[in-house]
Amino acid sequence: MSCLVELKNVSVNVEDKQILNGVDLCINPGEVHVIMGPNGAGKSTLANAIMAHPKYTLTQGDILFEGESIVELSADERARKGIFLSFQTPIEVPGITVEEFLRTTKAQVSDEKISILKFKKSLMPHLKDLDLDEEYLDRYLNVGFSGGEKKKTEILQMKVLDPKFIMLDEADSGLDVDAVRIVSENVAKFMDETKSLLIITHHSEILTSIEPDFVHVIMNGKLVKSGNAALGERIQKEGFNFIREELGLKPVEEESSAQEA
Amino acid sequence: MDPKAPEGLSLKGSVLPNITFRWTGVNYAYTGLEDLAYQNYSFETGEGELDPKLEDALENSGLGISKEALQANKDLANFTNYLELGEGDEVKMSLVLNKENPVLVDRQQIVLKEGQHARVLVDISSEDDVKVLRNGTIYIDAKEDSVLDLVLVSRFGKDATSNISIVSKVSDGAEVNIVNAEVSAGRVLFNYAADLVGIDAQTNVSTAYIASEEASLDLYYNILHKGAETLSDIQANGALLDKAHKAFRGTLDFKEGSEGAKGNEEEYAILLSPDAKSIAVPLLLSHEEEVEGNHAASAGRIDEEMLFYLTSRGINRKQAEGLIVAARITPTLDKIFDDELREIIMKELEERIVL
Repeated sequence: MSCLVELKNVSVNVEDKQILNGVDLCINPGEVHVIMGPNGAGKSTLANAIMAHPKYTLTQGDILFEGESIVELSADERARKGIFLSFQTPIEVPGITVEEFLRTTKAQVSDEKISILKFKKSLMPHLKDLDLDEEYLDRYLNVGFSGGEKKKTEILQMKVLDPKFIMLDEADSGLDVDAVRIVSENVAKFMDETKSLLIITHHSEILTSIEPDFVHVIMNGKLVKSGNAALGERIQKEGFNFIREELGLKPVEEESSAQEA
Repeated sequence: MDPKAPEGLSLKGSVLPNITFRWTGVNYAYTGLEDLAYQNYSFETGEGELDPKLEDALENSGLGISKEALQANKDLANFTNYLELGEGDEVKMSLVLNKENPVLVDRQQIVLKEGQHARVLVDISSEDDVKVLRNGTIYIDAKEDSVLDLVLVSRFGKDATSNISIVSKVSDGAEVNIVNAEVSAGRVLFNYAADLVGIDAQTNVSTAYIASEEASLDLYYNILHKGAETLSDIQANGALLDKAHKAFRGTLDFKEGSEGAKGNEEEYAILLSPDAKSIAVPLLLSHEEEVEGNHAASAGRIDEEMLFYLTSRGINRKQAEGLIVAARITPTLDKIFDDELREIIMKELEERIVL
């Protein structure tokens, strides 16, 4: 099997500060990978670098999608290839309604003209799955949405754009349990053997409906440990100190907040 | 509005009612009318004869871009139009400036009969790369309880100079609503003065602009609240590209006797180029205690995080910018009661920002 997404010795700077340092990772079609790590370890940086955030500079290595290097491509070009990032903090965009935005992006990604009525009709089952009212379509994108509504809107966009590789950058804190459950169920339903998923998380709620194939731990910008779902469960219970011990690092007091870096 | 006079220009206009420090460069604009001379304009001229009383009213109002500009408008007029409108009347006109007709000196009067509601649309455009000059005036007399919706669309190329002075006299309970869409690469002075003389008189202005290349756009509003309980609202939204320069200068002037009056002015400019410049000078003048005046203005680049968010969903950066600008100006464009014209403006937006 060849990787859908492959990171080869990837180092990333934000401004002049190195955040990721020589990360290697292969995600095969159909696989679910989870990235865990303490605050500031570089988890969100990994997702942002794969999505070509302009503030994140690749200083070394290569990122491949379906066997081809994508490092020269802009965010929109990567999106059109089938890469999707669900934002930790979705941006509020006044003046553009959810429906308009979905239609505009769908037309770009699928490269076809879409009839307004047909398109709206096609959204209805998604809204039902996500427990969103039809009126959300007429609201300005993310403006005044609760944390849960923002996350659901991200998943709505994912469903409409139908990407091959999905990254969920989850700051689960502040989200109500129901919203996380709905997000988790919808992502699980969306997955198939051709699609891959990368979840960045602190908490296990998002994994209620999704069974990870691999759990990776990032510390100080490096991928220091990989395992299966059991590794994730152990981190949930014990925190990261047992890994620090294995690495010969000093244990630290674990942070309680779930702010991502 | 340029801090220093552009080459060859010396005539000033749209002077602020209360001038401020000279170094700010916001006290006046350069009209660019130096070369204005009579030329025939071969467009079917308006229907009615101008009313001399209204001509005097304009001249004596002390309003408009400048005395010189108004005098030249009177002396050199090559398009005159008198409209007396009743309930449901709708007038649309489209004036084009080109090689054959490079000069337009339009002089119009619009009279709204008591209690009547009518609408007028004036679309003026110039072909790109043709040097054209325009100096226009519109005098509006809105009688008691009448409503006028006036839509002014101008689409000028980079070698265009356009001055338009609009003066409205708004009587008891009357309402003058101005929708102004400016898609311009040239020198444009838009000057609207509202004389809210009547009790409950009202004026609302909704402006949308896209200024590109070396455009110099001066948006000047002077709202004179004279009657009690008078209302005004100015909303301006737009985008500046390339080396475009825009000044928003809005004055809400609460005169003695305007108790209970309320005025509001808001301006929001999106800068799509590091070389574009935006100036906002909202002025509130008050000679009356029981009044309420609000203003807000801001200008800035589109937030990078927002652009990343939008582009991460598959639309390119320019499309994202176009989408954001369209979102800001659509509420104004929706008030243009001509579908075709609205389409043309949206297409211009796409051509200038997205393509």
